[in-house]
Amino acid sequence: MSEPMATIVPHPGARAAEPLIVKLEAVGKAFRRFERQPFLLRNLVLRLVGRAPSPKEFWPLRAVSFEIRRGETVGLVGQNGSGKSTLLRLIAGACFPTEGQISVRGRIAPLLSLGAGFLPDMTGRECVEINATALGLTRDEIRARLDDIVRFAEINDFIETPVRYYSSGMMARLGFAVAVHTDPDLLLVDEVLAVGDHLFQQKCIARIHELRDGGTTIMFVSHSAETMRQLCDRVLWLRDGHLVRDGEPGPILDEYLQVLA
Amino acid sequence: MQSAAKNARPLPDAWSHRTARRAWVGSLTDEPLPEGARRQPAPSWLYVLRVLTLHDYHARYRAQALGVVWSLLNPLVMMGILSVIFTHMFKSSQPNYPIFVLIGLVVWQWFSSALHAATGSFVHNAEIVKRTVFPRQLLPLSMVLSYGINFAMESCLLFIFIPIFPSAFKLSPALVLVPVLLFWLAVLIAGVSLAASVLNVIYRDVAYLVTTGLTLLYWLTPLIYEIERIPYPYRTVWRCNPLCGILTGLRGAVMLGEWPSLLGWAGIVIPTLLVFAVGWLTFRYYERLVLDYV
Repeated sequence: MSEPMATIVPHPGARAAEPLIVKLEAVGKAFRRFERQPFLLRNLVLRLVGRAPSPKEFWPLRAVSFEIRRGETVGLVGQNGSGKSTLLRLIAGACFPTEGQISVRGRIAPLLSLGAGFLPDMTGRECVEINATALGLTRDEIRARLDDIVRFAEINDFIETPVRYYSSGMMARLGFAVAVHTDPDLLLVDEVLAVGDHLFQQKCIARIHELRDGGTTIMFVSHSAETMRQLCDRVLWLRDGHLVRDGEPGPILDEYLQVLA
Repeated sequence: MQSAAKNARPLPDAWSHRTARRAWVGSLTDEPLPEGARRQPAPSWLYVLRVLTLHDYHARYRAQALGVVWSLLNPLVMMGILSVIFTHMFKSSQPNYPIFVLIGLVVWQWFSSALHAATGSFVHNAEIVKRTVFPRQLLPLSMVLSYGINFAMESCLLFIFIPIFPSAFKLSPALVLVPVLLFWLAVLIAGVSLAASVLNVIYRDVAYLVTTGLTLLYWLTPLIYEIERIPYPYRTVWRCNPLCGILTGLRGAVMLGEWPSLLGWAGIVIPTLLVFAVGWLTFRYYERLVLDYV
């Protein structure tokens, strides 16, 4: 794969007048590779006496800088392992950067995986209560919206059933339903739309449109170029952890698809 | 679309920033936030803690026929066995040995089962830890509280024994001490649990260490014997164990109507605070590693 481009022209966007909501400055994230057991006593001792190489690092994300203004709908593209999920986790606050600084504000609703934030033994209701509270809703607001959430997720009578008995479609629907019913300022969606059936996908996309028109900022990962074109007004392309393109969806998606082919 | 966005709720002025070393709330630039700046209201984590606690409590008994009866049966059986052994074979000087040992057993059950559950709390719930955003302390703390519910129910067993061993209980003003002592007990369990939960992510050995450590502590704490059986100078060492002080205090308050001495309080408060501080700092130190390694 070619070297990432050295400079990215920051995308001014159509919303230059809107306030900033996300700002990343030279953000990098390193993980250990766990090739050898890093904490095994023998290895710890070897490292102390300088006989073992320090553990290898792996950077799923490096030197990423961009700004997002309120109301933008930003799609993230890139092949598997290009750092898309790590980027969303970092913005959501689910982990800390190794380098650089991440700044966000407002109410963030992260949908980072299928059934995000559900313990398998929890009932649907408990999941809704925990997640909606973590997203900033009060108890009264949750009570008032529970019916809407259940209706949107099409869970019906299964709300008192532990989620371990849910189908993957039900989990995805419930997770999405909670996130979109909390009036987020920033919605982060990581490929969870792929699970639901066609009808539910359409419903989600309609809902995302609705949120977008209401001023919600949206960042989402999808492998469907069609969905991207439909929803986004800006696309970020990640390759090997570097941001290589940032701008209008049309040309970037064309180029991306060409590289893939 | 532009106009619709203007109707949106205004964004808070306060940004939350994160770097490798710290997380803080402030303005986008380095200037301090002005007076009256809009802040993002914090979610009510207490409610999350409540839901997690009740969930853990209910989930524990979901697929069982007898449910919470198990947790009551265990101390009763132990109390029966130990009472036979200690009153007939080892001749305890304690006139109401069954009550004496029951208090020890229910306290121990809270301590050991909460610590066990908290130790595995991150490892077993890796998905929720990785993918959601909430103060991670809540997970081990909810275990401490949910086993606290069990403890409360087991303690009610004592009421059954009031008519059977009337001389073992003393209605006195010292009973107001019970909630105070239980508070310190909860703080102690929380401190150990916080440390064990994060350390177990990095060193999975901790789970085994906890099991062995608990067995050791079981015998080093005057649970089933009286502290008077330990000769000086060892008794002084025993008294540094906060669990020992709490137990002595509880038994004194319930059975004899006694208040702990000033030295007794010192033996409870100082080591407990020390354990909690070490546990909390350990947690804060390793918290970020947990997010990557779990």
